[in-house]
Parts: sequence; C-alpha cells; structure tokens
Amino acid sequence: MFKALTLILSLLFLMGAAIPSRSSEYGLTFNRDNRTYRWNNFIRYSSPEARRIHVRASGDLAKTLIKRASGSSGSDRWRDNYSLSSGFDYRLNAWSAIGMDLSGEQNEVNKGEIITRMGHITSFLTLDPRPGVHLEGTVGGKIDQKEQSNLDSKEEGLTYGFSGSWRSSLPKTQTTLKASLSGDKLSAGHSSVQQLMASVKRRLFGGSQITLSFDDQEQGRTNLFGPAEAAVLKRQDRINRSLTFKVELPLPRDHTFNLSLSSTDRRIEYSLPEGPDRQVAQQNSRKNVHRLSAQVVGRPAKRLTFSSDFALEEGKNDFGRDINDEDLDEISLSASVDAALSSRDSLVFSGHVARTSYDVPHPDNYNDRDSFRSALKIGYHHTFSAALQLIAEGTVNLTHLVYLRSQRSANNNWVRLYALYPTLHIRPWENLLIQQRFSISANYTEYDFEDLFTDIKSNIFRQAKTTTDLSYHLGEEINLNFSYTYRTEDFGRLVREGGWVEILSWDKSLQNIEFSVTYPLISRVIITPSLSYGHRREYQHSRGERNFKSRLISKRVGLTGRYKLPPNNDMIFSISRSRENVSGLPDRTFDRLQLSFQHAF
Amino acid sequence: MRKLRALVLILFLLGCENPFATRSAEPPSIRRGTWEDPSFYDAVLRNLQNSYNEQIIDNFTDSISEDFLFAPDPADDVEYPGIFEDWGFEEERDVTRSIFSSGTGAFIQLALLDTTMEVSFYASGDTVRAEVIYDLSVDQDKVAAPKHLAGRVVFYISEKSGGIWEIYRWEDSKADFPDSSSWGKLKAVFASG
Repeated sequence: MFKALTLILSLLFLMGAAIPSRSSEYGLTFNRDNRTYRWNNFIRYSSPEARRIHVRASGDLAKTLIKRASGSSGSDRWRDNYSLSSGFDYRLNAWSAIGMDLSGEQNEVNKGEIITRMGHITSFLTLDPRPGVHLEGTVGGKIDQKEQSNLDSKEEGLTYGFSGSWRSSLPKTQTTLKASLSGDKLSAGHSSVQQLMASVKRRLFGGSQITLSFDDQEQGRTNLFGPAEAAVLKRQDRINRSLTFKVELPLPRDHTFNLSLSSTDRRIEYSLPEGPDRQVAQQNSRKNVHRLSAQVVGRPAKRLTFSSDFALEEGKNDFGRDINDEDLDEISLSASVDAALSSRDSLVFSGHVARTSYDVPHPDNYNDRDSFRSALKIGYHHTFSAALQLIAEGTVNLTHLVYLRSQRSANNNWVRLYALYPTLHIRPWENLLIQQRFSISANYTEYDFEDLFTDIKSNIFRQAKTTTDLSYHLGEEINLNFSYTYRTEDFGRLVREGGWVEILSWDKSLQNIEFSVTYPLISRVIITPSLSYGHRREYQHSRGERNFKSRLISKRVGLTGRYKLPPNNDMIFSISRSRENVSGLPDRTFDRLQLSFQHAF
Repeated sequence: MRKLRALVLILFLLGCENPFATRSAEPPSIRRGTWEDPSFYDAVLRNLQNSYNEQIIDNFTDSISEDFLFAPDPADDVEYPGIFEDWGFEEERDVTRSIFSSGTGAFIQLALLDTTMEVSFYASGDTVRAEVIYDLSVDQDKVAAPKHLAGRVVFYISEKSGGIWEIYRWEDSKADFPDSSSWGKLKAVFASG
C-alpha cells in the first residue's frame, strides 16, 4: 500500500515538476561542521494562483551524519528523511472549490534501526457563501508504519477536518469567530486538534472601546511511547486557553488608560487510555493564571511621552505530582519617560520593579521562595552633526532570591549589576561608517548567609570593553569591513570585613580582529575572503601575586562565494578553517564547509 | 489644601506594607552543595555533574540558560513522539526536579568523561562546543525509567552578561552498544509519567 502511494505521488510529482513555471525551483545544500554532515535537497512546483485549477508538488530529501570521533568505539549516526507531496485545487465557481492532497514521508534512524513511514490522502471542499464567511471540510485516509528491531507496527484509518470563520463589521462592533476541528482515527487510537477563537470589539463614547476575546486550543494524540518491545499506549494533551477583557479609555490631555483582565490556562498532560489512575503526568503547566494590568500612556507636555504599567498575577504551577506543585503571585510596576529636550537631544528614563512569590503546599518540598527584581535605565542621545552622534545608556539591575525554608536558604543572594554603554556613530563620508562602542560593567553577587559558611561564595565580576566597527562601501558590490574588540575583565571574592572587600581570583584580557572584503571576482561571481585573529591571556591571583594561567590564540581564515547566473540560478559556498592554540597543548584545527545551489525553472 | 492632601497621601503610603518586599528566610540548616563560579566554561560542566550527584536543583538550573534547548537522540524522538517538541528551560528544570525528587534517598552518580572543547571567539562573548561522553546511574522509583545510561552529549556553552557561562543547547546521542539508554530517554519517561 505504501509503495503504491509512493509510486502515485512520484508520478504526480514528476508531472507537476516537469511543467516549467516561474514558481518552480530546485535547491540543494550541504554543510559540514566538524563531524556533523548535513545534505538537503528540495524541489517545488506551483502553478499560477490565478488559474482556475491550481496544482502543487514538492519533494524533500534530508540526510544527517554524525561521524564517530577518532579513537571512539562508537559508530556513525545517520538520520534520513524523505517526503513527497502533491495536490491540486479546482475553483468550481466564485464561492466554492474542491481539491485533493497526497503526501508520503519516511524517516529512518541509523540505516534501518528505526523506520517510520506515513502516507496521507485527503480531499477537501471550501465554501465562501457570503462576505466574511468561510467554510472548509476535509476527509481522507492515513497509514502509519513503524519498523524497529523486527517489531513492526502498522496503523490505518480515517482523517477528518472542519473549519469555519465568520467576521462581521457593524458600524460600532467588530465580531470575529473561528472554529476548527481536525484529527485522525487510526486502529491504535486517534489524535485531534481543536481550536475556538471568538472576539468582540465595541466602540463606546468619546473614542473609548472594549474588547472581549476567548481563545482555546486543544491538541490531543494517542501514541505508543517507548521502545517497540515495551511500548505503552498513552495520550498526550496540550491545552492553551485564555479569556481576555480589555478597556481602552481616552483621558484628558492626550492620555489613554488601558485596563486588561485575563485568565489563562496552559498545560501538557499525559494519561493512560483507561484505568482508575489515568492521569500520569503533567509538564510545563500553569493553571488558572489570572492577571490584571492597568496602563496609562500619554503626552503630559509637548516633548514628553509617559507610560506606566501596573500588573497583578496569580496562578498555579501544576505538574500533576503533588510534591512539585506550587502557587505563585506576582506584582509589578513599570514606568518610562521619553523627553525630547531639543532638536538634537533626547533623554529616556525607564524603571521596573517586580516581586514574585512561590508557595509550595507539600511539606517535603522546601521551594517556598520570593524573587525581587528591579531595573533602572537611563539613555541619552545627542546629535552633534549629521556625521557624529552619541548614544549613552546606563543601567542598574537588582535581583534578590529568597528561599524561605532552612533547607534551601543557603543560596539566598542579591545580584547587583551596574553598567554604562556609550556609543559613537561617526560617518565622515557617505560611504564610511565607524561605530565606536565602550562598555563598563560591574556585577556583584552577595549571599545573605555568607557569615555562616567557611567557603566564600559572594563575588564581583568587572568588565571593560571597547569595539570598533568600520564599514566602507566602495562600489555597487564592493564592501570592506573591519572590527576590533578589546575586553578586559576580572573576578574576585567578596569578603565582609565591616564593608565588602574584594580578593582578586583571576583576570583576563582578550583582543579580536576581524577583516573581510566583498568584491566581484569575475562577472556574476562575488567573493568574500575573511580573516580573524583572537588572542586571550588569563592570569590567576593568589595571595596578592598575579601568575600566568593560560594563553589562547585562535586564527580563522574563510572564503564565501556567490555565483548568480540570471535569471534563475544562485550558488553559494562557504569554507573556513580555524586553528586554535592553547599554551601547553597541541594545535587543533576545525573545518566548516557549506554549499548551496538553487535553480528556479 | 494641596499640602494637606500630599501629607495625607504620604502618611497613607508610609502606613502601607511594601508590596514588593520579600519575606524573611530561615537561617540555612544544610550546606549549599559543591559549586564553582562558572566564570570559566569548564566549571559549568563540573557544576552540572555535581548538581546531579548532590541532587541540588538550583545548582543545575544555574548551569543552563533561559534560552536553553534540548535536542534528543533521533531514536528517542521517534520512540517518544511529541515529548521533545519545544523542550526548553522550563521543561528541563521541571523534569530534572522530578528526577532529583524521585523516590526516597534516590542515588544518582554522574560522570562526565572525555571532554573535547572548541572555543569560538565572538565580540559579544565567546561560545564553546563541548563534546562529552557520559555515564549516569540513577536509582529511582520509576519502573519504566532506565537505571544506567551512557552516551555522548554535545553541550553548547556561552558567556552571558556578568561573566557567567551557561549551557544553551544540549544535543544528546545514545551509546552504540545494544540495549543502551540515553539521557533523553530518562527525561522522556519522567516527563510523560
């Protein structure tokens, strides 16, 4: 049956692909990244949409090889994927169409260790009986096969689908309703996807409006889980549900007030088809999350924009296992002000503060905790001239993690991050752009109960960095790019002796230079040779002495080329070799190769 | 009148409890586990190994990044359909927490062996591709879950702000000997019950 389907598909596919069309194309890519090799081939055909009959066909072939490491006792790992699909739709009249799709797919792991095959045929009818109304129905058949260690399984059955949408636009009210249901009923079980979406927006007095929307997506499937010899039939349900009510209210002096109330439910559940204890697990589940959010946005003065947001949230992380379940509540407040001080200067100020609390009902779970986060950001932008601009940003981020129970509170800590980022944009000529970036930052991590332990965990990390990027545009397809980065950083323990005192543990510095030039080598061939050189030195500090730890040098040479043969051919290749030298170790070489070819018929 | 209103508002705010304040914690009663500052990439792998052996979930989650992705062995992806779709930080944290809290006094022994590292320089921060052979024994109460696992993992580790290194991608391959089980299989069994 599967072979017959493949044969029919191949014939239909060849018939489709053989007809030259502007929307038909073929492509292949190959890339090698160290020991991973990937081959991809595709061919697609699509007849012009404007015709009464629209035919489409596509084929994909993908192979991945992970070669075993030299000296390893393992073997190479293969994954092969083949797929073919073909179909047509025929417009009967202005408001209805019929069509059919055929598809086949084979996935193979390690040259026959596991083979899965899927064949699918489906026919459909679409109706647009009146403006704003769309209906679609499908019916078909499906085959699923799995071969593994001589334990083969085969499932056959029906597929079905229905979807409908309705949109109404009255003078003050917009209503949208969408519903769909699709799935399959195979011999071992069935899968289904259902979606319901409804939204009503109503304009009220003075530019105000309210919106009520509901979205429900439920995806369920019954599958054999586990290796063929010990597989268990289980059902997986993915549920996403939300109900949102929004009010937008214009206020005096160009202000707007937005209020949003929402309730969401997201979960992935696993269950056995029958039995008293059917539900066996839940994954990534946030149940009954209620959120209230209020926002004020406005322009209190001609050159001032202001926004503020306040939100409350409560919900439940439900894993279907009592011990890991937790309740959460969150409060957050944020505000931002954007001031255009003059035609050349602007200032941005924003702040955010939030606290999240997790409460765990199970007495043997010690993860009751609070998390406090605050962020402050100030940005200043000054235009000296069309050729010179300054952007300076500063941030202060604070977080405090507090586990309440004694079993977990040892790691309670404050993290304080201070950073300053000035950037200069220099454009001395139209075709030359220089971006000079600087950054300095300090990251303090202070543990609350440090005094109770002999090992010191509180620490400070500091970094200073400068990057120069130069881009020179010489002609239509000639570009020159240069980048230089210098970075220096140190790390030390923080000891509480009255105030905090730093004991330096290590420092390191890094320099990296990259250069590339893009130019046409000959007609239609553009190449980009590139070079990079990186150098890093690391030092360790012990009892006030600075000792050399290691040096790393990385060199990379690469070449990218593009051959464009109008009107329909495009070929790209990229090859690079990098060599890494770490003091005291032999050199190592890494090769990467990528080839890609595309032809439009 | 304005001053009076402002005074009333200030007094009202001073009288309120700070809604952003965290609650008080009990002083710690147990040690915080073996932890090296992940300011070098190789420390991340040692922290991951120690977090498993000491079953301390915070030390595990501090070793993986918020944009974490898990790519299973292709055979596990076929045997456990749909489980590894969109497997990110939350899924990894939840399933590891379940592995650590399985049974009473579950015994876990993880060894990361034969590590090969490749460093790539980037101006924004370096990344490292670490290929690791692992051997993991887990004595837990799930019948379907493997007790002994072995295979090869490729970890992609990057330098985040604050000089901290974290794993952002985990590619799993099972070992080649017959009846071997992979880390992905352990995760799949714990995720699906």
